[in-house]
Amino acid sequence: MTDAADGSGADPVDRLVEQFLARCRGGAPADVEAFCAAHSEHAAQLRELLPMLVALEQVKRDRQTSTGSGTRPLSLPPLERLGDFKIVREVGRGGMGVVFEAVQESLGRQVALKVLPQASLLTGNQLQRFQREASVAAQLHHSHIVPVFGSGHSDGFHWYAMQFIRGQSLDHWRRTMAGAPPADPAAWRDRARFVARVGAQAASALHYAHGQGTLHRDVKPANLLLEHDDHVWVTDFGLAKALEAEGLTQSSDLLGTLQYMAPEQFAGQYDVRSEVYALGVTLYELLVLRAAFAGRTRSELMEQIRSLRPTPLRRACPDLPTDLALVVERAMARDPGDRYADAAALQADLQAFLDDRPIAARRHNAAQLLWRWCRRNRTVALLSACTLLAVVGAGVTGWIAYVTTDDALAREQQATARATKQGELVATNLQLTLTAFGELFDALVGRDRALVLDEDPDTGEQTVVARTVVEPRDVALLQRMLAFYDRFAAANADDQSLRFETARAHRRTAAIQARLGDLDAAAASYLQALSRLLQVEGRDVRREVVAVHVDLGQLEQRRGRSGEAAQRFRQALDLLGPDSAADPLAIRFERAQALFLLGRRGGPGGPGGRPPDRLRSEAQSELDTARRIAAELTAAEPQNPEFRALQARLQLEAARRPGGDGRPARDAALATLRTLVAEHPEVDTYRHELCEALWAEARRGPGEVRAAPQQLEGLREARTLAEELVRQQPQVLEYRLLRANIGATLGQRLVAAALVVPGDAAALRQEAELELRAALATPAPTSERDSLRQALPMLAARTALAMLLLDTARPDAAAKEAEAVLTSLQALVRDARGARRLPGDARAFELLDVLLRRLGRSDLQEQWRELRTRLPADDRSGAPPRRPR
Amino acid sequence: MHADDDDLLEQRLRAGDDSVLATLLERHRERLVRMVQFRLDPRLVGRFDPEDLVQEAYIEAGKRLGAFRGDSKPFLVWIRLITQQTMIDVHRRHVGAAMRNAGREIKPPASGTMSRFFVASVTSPSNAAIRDELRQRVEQALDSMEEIDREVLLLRHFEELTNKEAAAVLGIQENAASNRYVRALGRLKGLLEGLEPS
Repeated sequence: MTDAADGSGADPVDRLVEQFLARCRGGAPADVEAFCAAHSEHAAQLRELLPMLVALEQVKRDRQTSTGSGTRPLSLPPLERLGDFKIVREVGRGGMGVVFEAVQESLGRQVALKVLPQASLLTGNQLQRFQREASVAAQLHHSHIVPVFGSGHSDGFHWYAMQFIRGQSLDHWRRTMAGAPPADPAAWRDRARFVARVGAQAASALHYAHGQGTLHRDVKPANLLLEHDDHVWVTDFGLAKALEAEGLTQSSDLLGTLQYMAPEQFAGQYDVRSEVYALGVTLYELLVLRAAFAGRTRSELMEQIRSLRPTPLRRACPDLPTDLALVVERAMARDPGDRYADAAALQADLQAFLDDRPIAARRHNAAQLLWRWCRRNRTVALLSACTLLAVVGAGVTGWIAYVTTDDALAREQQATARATKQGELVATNLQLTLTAFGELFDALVGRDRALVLDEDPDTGEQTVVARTVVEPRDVALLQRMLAFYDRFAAANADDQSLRFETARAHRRTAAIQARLGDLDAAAASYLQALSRLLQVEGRDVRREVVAVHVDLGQLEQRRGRSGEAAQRFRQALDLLGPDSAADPLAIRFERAQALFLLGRRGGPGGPGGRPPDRLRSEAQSELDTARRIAAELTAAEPQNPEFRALQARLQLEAARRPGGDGRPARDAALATLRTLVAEHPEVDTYRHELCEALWAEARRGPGEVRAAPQQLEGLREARTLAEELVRQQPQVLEYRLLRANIGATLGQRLVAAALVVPGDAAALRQEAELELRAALATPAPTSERDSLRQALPMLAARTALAMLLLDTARPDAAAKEAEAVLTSLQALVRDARGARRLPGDARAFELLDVLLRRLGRSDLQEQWRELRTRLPADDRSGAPPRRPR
Repeated sequence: MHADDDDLLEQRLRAGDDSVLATLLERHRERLVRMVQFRLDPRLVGRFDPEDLVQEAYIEAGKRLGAFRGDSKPFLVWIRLITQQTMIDVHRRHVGAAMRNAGREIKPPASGTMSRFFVASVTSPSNAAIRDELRQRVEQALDSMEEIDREVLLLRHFEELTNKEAAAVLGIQENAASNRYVRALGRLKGLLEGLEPS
């Protein structure tokens, strides 16, 4: 008996009432008479009050009746009528109830009546939810949503009346079609259009409902009704949540629904993208005519959804149009961030497919959209990035604090389950946060080659993404982000995907640093990426490690460290193993690329840069292997731009091979590169390669010199490309230097051409002067390595300019330029390393000889003679320049 | 005993032991959910799961522990206030400026809200008529009662508070609360005169 504790300050009757209540709530029968008899002193008052209490409790208890066991059989006695409804026939039976065709007699209309199991079996909560959802569904008015007329209860049954749809569910349709997939490509086209129409209609219904704040929560073929073979109706909005959450439905039915659950739902996340996913899986199944996932038990199915990718559509249905496959697969992407952002976007792409317009799935993933946005709103984007960083930083600290508290709380028995759920939510949130960061990275950096190829190893579908303009301040931002990644990865040491993301982030930063010309910082970042990748466990990171080695190799090459470069390429090749035609195309591409970089002329393992222990034939066989792989890759995917670019590189390399006639290969390579530039104007690497190739072509030695006008055309084309590159990426040092170098070469050739083509001399000289002055005005690079590299071309340009001035009767200006040339030369010769660099292009000195003789300045000639004795032996003779072998 | 336990937990929480918060919250969860169920604006019913709202209130409670320690309010009163505040916030977010009147919004149950529970209790056709009538009468009766009478009935019955707790929530003495309760039951009886419970 309760006494003092609660009742101390209470009215004596109240104390008795509490006792009575405690009994009732404890499950004892509410025997008012017996209780009154036992407490005769208050019997009269109790007799008055206790019935009130019973009434109030009755109301409450009805809602709180516990369910007990989870699943119950669905039992409905044969019904002829229910309230206002005259039952015509049973049309379906599911976990949630039985569906009848019925006539609502007062209105004389035909309805579909969904009747729930007898109300006594339902808990108050279930009914409440059911009614709540029914009333929400009744507010949805859309041409593809089955109208709900109302819900109610009659004769102990709860019902839900909807418009009667004459047709079949798509689940039924799929099962009847299962034995007979379309027989030929034409039939497949029709089927694809049918499924796209179904999807577009369902997506529009979902999008409308989402706009009304309602989630369907159970999108699946069984809830899509097909009327007259082409009008689709979505039914049962929200009912799933109302009933299934309470364990009312049969377990087999739950399993059916699980099929369409998005992976993030297992972590408690659910939003419109989860419905996009479910619709994606639905469309997938309508195409392949079987379940996307085929687990037999709940846990098996969940595991599959979480970790398996269903058979790619193009493999399951080879005749299916690729575009529709892309749309459906994007809708059902495992990561919500990779899906369409909402049902409207899915609908739009399905419609695009139906209209034969280009679909968005092919080109635009989330990162690209973000990238575009960033490009349009550059300042805003950077600001947002910083803000996001701050916000997320704060949020994360908050979350961690919360998790810690929650951990402590979790020790209390009852809270344990709750805390675990929270923990999972936190983990998911972190993951989502990191995904957002990844997208931001992509937006700033663009996806690098290997990552682009990563897109879809099954279909080989990929997108070439332009790199956005990067600046040093981007690097500062990225480095702050990196610090953030690192902190996170350290705090979550056992989270492998975090480590992986961090590694990727370092690699991307390295790529930016390299482009901005900070080679040492880039090397350090690559090594960071590598060390983090090597810590990743339980995940195959071979591809990424290979890609970093290749990147690093190219970087070392640029830093003039051939030995290290060769080592990197070999490490990549060792990891890749010997070539096999069975390997995925992307792997074979990496292999061919590494072989090319290693064996090419001027490459660390090729002629020119070849270490003494290597044979030329070795490099040759590497190139041959690369060439063979490249040919097979392009045969497999003639449209793949990266494959075509690699083949062009190898053709150019072959054209440079001494002995043969390289012209056909060279012309083919140039044509390929021109096509790639035209097809992908946003990708600067193709433009860069074409530009370099044209420039190299123009600089060829006398034996292969084409007619001068043609040579000038090539150089002019290279100049235009270089200008575009600088415009596209003003911060990339290499492009600025390239632009200056091409200008210098073009200027020199124009000066020479003016002598042979007297008719055009004036115009040619004018062009030459512009080019040369522009080249000379380019700021010198700050790093020693780059400034040395740039020194000779600029000396040559200045010499040519002096010659031009002389040709145009400006001897004083010419003499000034000549003096400047000698001064720079002197500075170079004083530095031993500079002197060693000089003989590389002795042609400049020939011209200098001529210039000084023409100028007739004996003092300058004397100075030059003296300087020449200090140049390396090879060139002191004034012999023609040696060409590299 | 439960109540003693609660007092002890409450003391520990006030003394700075954060680890007991979850247990306390868990013990009050059901009644808080009930409170939300009964008091949520009917316009929002169907948009919100009371459990979610209570969950949100918990997070808020975690953030405001300092305030709890700086105040002498019993834990139940404090957590109810936070839950009510969460309900108000939800209203603001979802019902909009036009409806902004916090005082009205969380007013004890509108009859529409109550009636759903009565509807849900129907289990057989024979009972249905009686229950239906009961529902209407109880609704009318509650509506016509003084606010504090109605409130005390709701607290004691629907939220299952003890007298002591109800008194704390109402901010009155325990004996006054108890008298109120007994009197309110009597008034309900008067208002429902002639009706026999099933």
